[in-house]
Amino acid sequence: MNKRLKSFTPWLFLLPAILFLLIFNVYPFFEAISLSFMTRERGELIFAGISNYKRLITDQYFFRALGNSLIYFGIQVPVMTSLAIILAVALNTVITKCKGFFRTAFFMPVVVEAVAYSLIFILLFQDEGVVNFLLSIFNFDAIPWLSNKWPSRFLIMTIMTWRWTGYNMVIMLAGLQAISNDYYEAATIDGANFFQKFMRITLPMLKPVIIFSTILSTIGTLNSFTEPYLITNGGPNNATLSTGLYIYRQAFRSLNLTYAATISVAILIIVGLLSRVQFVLGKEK
Amino acid sequence: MKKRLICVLFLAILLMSISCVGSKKEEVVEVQALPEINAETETEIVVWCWTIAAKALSDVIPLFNEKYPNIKVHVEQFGGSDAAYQKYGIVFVSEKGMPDIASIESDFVHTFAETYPQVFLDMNDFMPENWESTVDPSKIPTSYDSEGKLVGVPWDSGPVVMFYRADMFEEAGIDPESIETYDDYIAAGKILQEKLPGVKMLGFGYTADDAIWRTLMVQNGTYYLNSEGEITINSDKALEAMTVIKKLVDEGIVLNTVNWDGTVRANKSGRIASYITGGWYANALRDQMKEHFGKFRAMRIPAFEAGGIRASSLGGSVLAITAADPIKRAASWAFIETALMTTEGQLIMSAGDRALFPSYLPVYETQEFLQPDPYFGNQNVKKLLSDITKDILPVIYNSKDYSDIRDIGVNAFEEVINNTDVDIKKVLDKAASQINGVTGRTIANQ
Repeated sequence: MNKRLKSFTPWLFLLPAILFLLIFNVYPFFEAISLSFMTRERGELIFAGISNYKRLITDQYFFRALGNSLIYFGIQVPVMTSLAIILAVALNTVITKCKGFFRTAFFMPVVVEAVAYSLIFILLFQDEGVVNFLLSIFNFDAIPWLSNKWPSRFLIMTIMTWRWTGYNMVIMLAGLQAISNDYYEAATIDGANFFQKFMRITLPMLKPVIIFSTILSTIGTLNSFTEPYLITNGGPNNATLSTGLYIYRQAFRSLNLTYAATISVAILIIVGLLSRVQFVLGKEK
Repeated sequence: MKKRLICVLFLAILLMSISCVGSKKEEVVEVQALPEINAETETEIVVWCWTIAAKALSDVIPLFNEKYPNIKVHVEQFGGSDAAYQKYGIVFVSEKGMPDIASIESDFVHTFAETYPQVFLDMNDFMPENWESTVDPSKIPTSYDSEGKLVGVPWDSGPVVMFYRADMFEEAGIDPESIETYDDYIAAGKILQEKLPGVKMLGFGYTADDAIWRTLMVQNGTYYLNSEGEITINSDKALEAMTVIKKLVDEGIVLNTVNWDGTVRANKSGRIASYITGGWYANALRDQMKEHFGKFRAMRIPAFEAGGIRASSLGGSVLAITAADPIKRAASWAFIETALMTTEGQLIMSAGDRALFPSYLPVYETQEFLQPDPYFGNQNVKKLLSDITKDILPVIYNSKDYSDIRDIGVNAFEEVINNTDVDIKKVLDKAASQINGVTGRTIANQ
């Protein structure tokens, strides 16, 4: 009796958390999967087999959105991650004064309200905005930041980098502080210079943290919604459409909940695969 | 072994959840006659609406309460139609927490009414027999769903006009009367821009919205789809409309205002001399540009060719009943009737700074309605708008696929406007085949 009670008690404590998980994570997860096999015909949910998936594999919007995410993934994520590492190392070793100020300053964009900064970026980058004015001083032609394909992608990437570098930097900083100073002391005794220490000690030791932050950023680019929604609304000609925005459009504008669920399932699989790849790459050597 | 067990478990849960949803019982909605209500009837109804339209609707409540003093009407105001639609999307699917009356833009009626027909009340039985002859003709197709159910009562219309700065036209020596076609408009624009540096003749966003294209399509007698639901986005008329817009841009008389806020800003700061849009824009002018009091005028939009149609429609909305309770349904209908199908109700909503433009034609005949407008230098803008409304071609046919189709339309618009050397016909053909791919609709022969 006593023994049984003992093994039962921990579960009792866990019960609220488990219930919460079941109701808000596990149930919606399976509901989304089942929805993706349905369709709505004049209000009635009916079983549709794999017709949603058939539409998905021929849906050029979906692939355009994935392609855009791939571009971010190839350009923005590496740039942001490198920046975050450099800033973290600088704050950890080079900059000794006003550390708190710099940390706060770099982290600040995460706290700023998305609608507010989106509006400011639109004002800065509009055709006759400050950025084009500065360009004109240096005799460059005005760039249509919001209405041309690559400029608008560049703009979205800039904003995402501006917003999330500080956040990733804080994660890196935590990783850096976990590296024991003994390694650096030993390296100093052996005569290693700063660059050698960075390449041979800091980076390898930081690898798990870098992988963690890259995975987060990857999921972030796939699900990015705020910036494309508020700044370009996915345009021009879907050049900045993200899968997150596409899911929103299907679910809340076209009222196609079942197809939106199908896209989410596809994203789930893609994110899972990407994370796996990154883990495997991280484990090598 | 363990892995296999997990797989089996996973599959079992998957199948269970599928069958659970699949077996939801069908509900048969019977059409019932509405119960009688009178001055004694006590109930509350909730209306969902947005911004200025919500305020206008609130103004009708006292009139309604004269007849039904014990029916309380709550108008819940949303920041914009998008915010309201997000809520609709959630409450209609769960059928919990729905409003009794829902306001919906005419373009989006079918998106909701075809997807969730069970929540929309058929109003065929209560509308007066001759109602179709008493409203803006272009609004009739968007009031019925695909099965002939009357799901929305036309509320306000969007007759399109060109708002222009009379002071700027005068300074540049342009006689607005002389602008009859888009070619005249371009020529006048060039003169104006020469005389007034820093000002462009017209402004619209090059991205995110294709409102100007939809405007010119309706003017030219076409829209995304025809009455059969076939694709006409690549029809000759749609092509002609897009070609004119491209010409306006190429001739350098357009300012890219990026989005709605940008357009309002450009109007406010005087960087554009004219703007083509629905008559409801008068509200934005009056409300946000008090400093331009007396400077704006309205005129008919230019024609494609001399003597052509100079009317179009953009925007406007309907009211629909989504109440489930019979008494509330009856109360909702009584409220809609008072607000939309009487001259008194529509006059209240079109008066003062609300200035919704009613779809109900008898209002146009009243003296109270046809008052000169001091904001527009005592021009009788409402007379102009009511004349235009009668000329709008009834070509706006929509469907539940509207959102998907409009996204494709916006993409085509963006591709044409933002690139040089585009083959417009090719872009529109591509858009048509995209719509075909997404919705399975056929492309109309022409």
